Amino acid sequence: MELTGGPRARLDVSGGTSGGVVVQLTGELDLASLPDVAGPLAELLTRRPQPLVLELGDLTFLDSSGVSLLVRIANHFDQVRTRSATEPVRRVIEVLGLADRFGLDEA
Amino acid sequence: MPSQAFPAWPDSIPAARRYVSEAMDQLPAGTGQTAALLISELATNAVRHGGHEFVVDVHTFPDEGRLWIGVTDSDTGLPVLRTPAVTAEHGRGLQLVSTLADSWGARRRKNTAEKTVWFELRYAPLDLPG
Repeated sequence: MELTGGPRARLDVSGGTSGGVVVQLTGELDLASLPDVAGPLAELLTRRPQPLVLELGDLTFLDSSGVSLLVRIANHFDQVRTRSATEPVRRVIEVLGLADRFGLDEA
Repeated sequence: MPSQAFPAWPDSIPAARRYVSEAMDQLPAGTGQTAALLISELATNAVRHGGHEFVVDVHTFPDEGRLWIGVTDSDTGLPVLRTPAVTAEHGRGLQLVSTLADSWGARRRKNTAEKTVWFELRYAPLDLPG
């Protein structure tokens, strides 16, 4: 999705059906859009460590600055699984050797 | 060959991606995707370390199936390739460049306060009309 004139990225948190947390990322995640998600990220990182699902179906671009955010989330929460990553996003995670860390093929 | 200067602030990172994508609209989709990612990494480094502006140069050689992109800024410190742990939050930009580019490098220009970090991508040469 194209976000123009406003925030370029969004981070939404919801409860999972079987407990745990679902984090949905939308838009393009790079150094320029990290401030767009800083508020919800700070709130997310105050939650107790628990299983977490990253829902990345609407994340169209991710570079190493965006990966640093995913690593922060993975470091804080117990188990992370990644769902429906788009092809460019999946490729970045795989190339960096983070597929296991982010549970890329387990969701 | 296309060349454009960008102010060294974060909004220039997506702008540089768009610029590169528009400069090479005839390339295979996978090559374009990789180029967008790698320009994002080099622009990010320029914004974080490189002074008040950076210049993006795009050279395409469709008959050879070769794309060269360089980012020039006014910081003479050369980039360092690192291998971060899975829990490390930073240090992965050049790892992507070195893994996905067919070749890459950095050079300083003598008697100037400039450096260029560049990468090259190869793809199947296009059948161009004419």
